[in-house]
Amino acid sequence: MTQAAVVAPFLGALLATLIPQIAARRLARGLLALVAALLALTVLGEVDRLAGGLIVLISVLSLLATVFSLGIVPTTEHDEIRWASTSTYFILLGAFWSSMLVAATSTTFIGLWIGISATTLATTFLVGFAGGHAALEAAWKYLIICSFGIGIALIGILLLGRAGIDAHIAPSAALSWDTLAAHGAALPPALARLALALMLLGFGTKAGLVPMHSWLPDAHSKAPAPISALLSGLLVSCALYAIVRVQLVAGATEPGFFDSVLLVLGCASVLTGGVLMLAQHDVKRLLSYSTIEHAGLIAIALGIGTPLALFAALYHVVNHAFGKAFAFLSVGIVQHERGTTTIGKLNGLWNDPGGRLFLGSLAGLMGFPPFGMFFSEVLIVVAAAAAHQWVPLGFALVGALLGFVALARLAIETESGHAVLPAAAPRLSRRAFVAAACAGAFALALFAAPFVPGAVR
Amino acid sequence: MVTALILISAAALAIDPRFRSALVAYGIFTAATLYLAFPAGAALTETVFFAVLAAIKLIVGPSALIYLVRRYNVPENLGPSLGLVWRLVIVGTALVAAYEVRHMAAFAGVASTTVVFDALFMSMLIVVLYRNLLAHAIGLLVLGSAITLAGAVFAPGLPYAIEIADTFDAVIATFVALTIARAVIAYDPQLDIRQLRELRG
Repeated sequence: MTQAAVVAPFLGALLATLIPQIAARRLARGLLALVAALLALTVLGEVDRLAGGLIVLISVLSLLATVFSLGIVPTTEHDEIRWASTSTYFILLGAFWSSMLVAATSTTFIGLWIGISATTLATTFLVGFAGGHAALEAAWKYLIICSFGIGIALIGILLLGRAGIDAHIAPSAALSWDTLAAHGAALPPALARLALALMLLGFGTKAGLVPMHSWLPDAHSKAPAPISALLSGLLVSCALYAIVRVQLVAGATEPGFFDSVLLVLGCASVLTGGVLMLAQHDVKRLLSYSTIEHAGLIAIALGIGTPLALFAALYHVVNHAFGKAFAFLSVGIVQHERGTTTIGKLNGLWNDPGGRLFLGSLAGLMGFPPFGMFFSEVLIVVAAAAAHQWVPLGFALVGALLGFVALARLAIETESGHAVLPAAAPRLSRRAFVAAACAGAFALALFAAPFVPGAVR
Repeated sequence: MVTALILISAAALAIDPRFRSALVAYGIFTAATLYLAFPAGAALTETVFFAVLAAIKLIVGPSALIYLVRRYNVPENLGPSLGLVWRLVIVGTALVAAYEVRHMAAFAGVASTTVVFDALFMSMLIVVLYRNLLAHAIGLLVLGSAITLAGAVFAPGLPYAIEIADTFDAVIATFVALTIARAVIAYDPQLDIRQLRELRG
């Protein structure tokens, strides 16, 4: 069943391309995506809660991105982008979705690595899908930096496998995180420490942690809006999930060292993201730096390492995934209607539904209650204070404040004024609007999560 | 002998900017790493993956590079970003660093660390020291070979998933990188990384 659930998104996208009629093909794409999302939910009993949460996240957001794409189909006017057909777009989207499911359903580091690495195959083309000089530049940077990052993670995995074999774990189980964590005390400390550091460096690159972040603002801002939503909402979450899995092994071998490195990377990310958000002139680029800031916040919570901090980190991963997907999807509607994402050219967003949706998403990202992000950020602050981690707490507060200021300025600048629409402004896409609104509804509804009995435990 | 071939060809890749020399050095380097990493006595599936990996790295990758250069008249110079003396100094330093890695506590009792880390460092240097996008694609392929070698040296008993992972790496390096590079030619026939500086800040 797991294999079927994993290949379903890719297979569904392939099958839909065989349908000759446009309307029927579009309907089939939506239905097959729904089937793929439901199929993935059937494997929840076969994985642990952490993986189960990620699978739900992947299924819901990928389905929303597919529905959005059915409403506003990404196109290109550049001849050199030979892969830029609608069918190829949906096949690449399906491949991206499937590869994330490979990562989420895996129980070994190598399976996780293959899943995350496979995302590169699809997403590089999706990042460069719009064509043009800037999109290709973003795709190239993404490919080179992430390939090297993920290559380094693989060397770390090999070294961890070696450490496992040295600790008398059978080679067939030497890459399973459960087995490695169970034998944590027996792993050679020096080799395990190096392996874990390389894995953190590699997966941290994909998560956009500073100083390995330079590809992220380019790739996330140049990709089509639904892909930006998945890159920021899901791919970063998958990479952070990988870091959590590495941390489980580190907790049994070298907890102090690993958590300290996470705290340093987190502090650097939250501050860099916050500062650079203030300097942006493009909405999507600003949101991309916000992703770096939030990845830093999550890394800080993971680095603190107390049960409350770990819950806050995972809760924030989910909140950020929905919140950022909401923001990117709604900015996609604005871009479709206004033809630009340049901050100085966007006015009067409150005057149209897509604009209002986008402003709502900014409220969520700024951490206003009752959006779930408010609660997870408060939990991270409380966890840091309870653990007496004052320096990381200071970085987190300063970074979050800078991010708040940048988003508030963006909201104020774009909300009012007279809307300047292109002469032939396209009509609002109902499908895209519904997809973005659903992401927003989830981002809002998540406030209830900590109040579910037993959730924090 | 094979180790010496790897060290020399990897150094040549990072020092010599001529495309043809780089291709020859790459061929020698890859053949030698695959020879060292060959999973003797492995199961059929593992051997098949290894054969696919070897075919991509030794035939498909170089053929695609040659096709791009000939079809689109890409300059046969990888465009070094530093002078020869600096390249020699940096490559020499990396070689010493790779040699010294064996003294790390983590690698006590592990043989052949020098050759693995030399290959790893050189793959990074190829990307840093050259401006041509094709050099970066070669750097990715060399990184893949370094990983293959690392798998054979550090963890020879691990399941064949490593071969699958390596094959993925090779596919990304050849198929994805060269497809994007071909698209970039429309904007910059020189394939110079300095032209890809629109996105800043």
